[in-house]
Amino acid sequence: MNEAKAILKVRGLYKTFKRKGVAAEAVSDGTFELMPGEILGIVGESGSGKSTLLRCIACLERPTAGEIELDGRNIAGKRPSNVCRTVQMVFQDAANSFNPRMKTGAAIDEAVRQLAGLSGGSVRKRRDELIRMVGLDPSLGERYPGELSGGQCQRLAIARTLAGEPKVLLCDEVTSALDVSAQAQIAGLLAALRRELGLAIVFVSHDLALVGGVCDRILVMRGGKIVETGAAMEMLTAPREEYTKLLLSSVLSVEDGYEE
Amino acid sequence: MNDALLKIEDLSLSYGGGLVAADVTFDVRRGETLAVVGESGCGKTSLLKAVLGLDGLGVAVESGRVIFDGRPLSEMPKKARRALLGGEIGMIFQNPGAAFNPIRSYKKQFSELLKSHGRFQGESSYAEIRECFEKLGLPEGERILNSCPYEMSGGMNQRVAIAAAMLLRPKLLLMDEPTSALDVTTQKTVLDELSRLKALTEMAMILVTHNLGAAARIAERTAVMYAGRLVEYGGTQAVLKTPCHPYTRCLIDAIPKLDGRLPSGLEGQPPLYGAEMPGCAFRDRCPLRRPDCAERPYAQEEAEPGHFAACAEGRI
Repeated sequence: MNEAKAILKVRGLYKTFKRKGVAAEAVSDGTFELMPGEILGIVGESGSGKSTLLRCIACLERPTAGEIELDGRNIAGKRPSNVCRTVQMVFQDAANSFNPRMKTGAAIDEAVRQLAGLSGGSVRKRRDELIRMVGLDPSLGERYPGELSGGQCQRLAIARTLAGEPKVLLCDEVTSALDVSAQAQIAGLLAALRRELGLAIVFVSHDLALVGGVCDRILVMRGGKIVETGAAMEMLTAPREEYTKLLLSSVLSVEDGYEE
Repeated sequence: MNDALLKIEDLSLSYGGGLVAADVTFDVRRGETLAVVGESGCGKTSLLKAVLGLDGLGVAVESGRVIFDGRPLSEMPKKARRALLGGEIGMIFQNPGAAFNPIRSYKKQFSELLKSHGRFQGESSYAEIRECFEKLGLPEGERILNSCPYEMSGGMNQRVAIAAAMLLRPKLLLMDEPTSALDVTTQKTVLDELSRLKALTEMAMILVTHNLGAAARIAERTAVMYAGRLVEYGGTQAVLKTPCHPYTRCLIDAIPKLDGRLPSGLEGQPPLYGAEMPGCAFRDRCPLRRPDCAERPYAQEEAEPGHFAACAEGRI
């Protein structure tokens, strides 16, 4: 890992929100690196700053302080249009990330035109290719978001982000609105995309078991701070921080069944 | 089974003209928790709506009966049914924000709630509410009572909604995904508190969820639904540890465990209006499919006492 160059370096990142004159530190001293082709998991409760951290990297928020180096250039505080070819973000509610009155295929076409700069017949060809990449039939592009299941919608949202061949994909709770049966499949899709495209992925979730299954490394956040980092297996089997242990013990398992 | 509080007999439901549930038969005993699990669109929420019987929810009873506390709900006049809601049958919806007026303080809304059921007793009621909040992991009761729902997070709103339903001490509490808006760390607290309150008050609960872990935690019995039909039904331990139906097995296998491996999940999705399909609706996704699955009529078989399944192929 050491010789490889990190695709994303975050150093001393702070983000403070001010409301009614009261400052709230959403992220404080966020520092980590992401290697090409690596899947990094971020876990923590709501309000721990996971989403804000991702939004700063995607340039959807302007950090209060700190550096974000993406593929060799500092992008902190830049506009989303400056970075959208390198970094893309997928959100929790897939259906809401599509225009409900536009066929999903047309929405992907827009991304293909803007991010890949294609036009004419090649747009349609690329769209079908992208939809196949996420394991769906291209005919689903002819449907509206409301006519698709949550899992299908999320796959298409991922397909759209791949239009510009990004190097980093930020996934913010992409599985938590889905059925159990679809959750593992979306996580599996991300693992496959990493294998096939060498994509680096940040996978934010509160489901520690799922994160443990798909990620190489896990970062635990609490109250805006990164409290523990380590290899995925290590975090599941030998967590050091009390908070990580608490998160682990909160996983509801079928095994610890109902007792009379 | 004299102690059944709720009996559902051969219930078939339709939604916008399509059949969403068929031949559903089960009962809930007094003081018992029944979990209804399955994927989105399997008809589990429609089932709750049929028990609730509110107008405007879109679910119509095609055939069958719902009997609550000896009274056939499906044959009662609307007004009498309405009178049961809240006091005898409580409901917690999935979307906590929609249960309250966002810009009216909880204090006002709670006193309205209690007054409309004739149970408001001034300060002692508020003390009871604060105590209930505290049990659900909301220590600053007075501050919350003086706040409006829009100022609260989804997780807090959900716990307040649970408190509101519990306060009226209904005989039956219906819950539609009550913990999916909550954080992992609070999920467990709320589930444990629900079972404790239930044990104290002899209240029965129906928990609709896609989280099998939540079912395992608090439910004595579990029903698995697929495409509008009950495919498996029995004691939670039996259903989750020794599942009979291949679908139950697939659902259990799809849950990620803390072993660093990724489960394969389950391909495809349930058919819409599957209850209208002849044969087993799961056959297209079933890893254990056999040639006669398309013809086999739906029927429950008793695998062991009290444990029923529509198919026993998943049994190991």
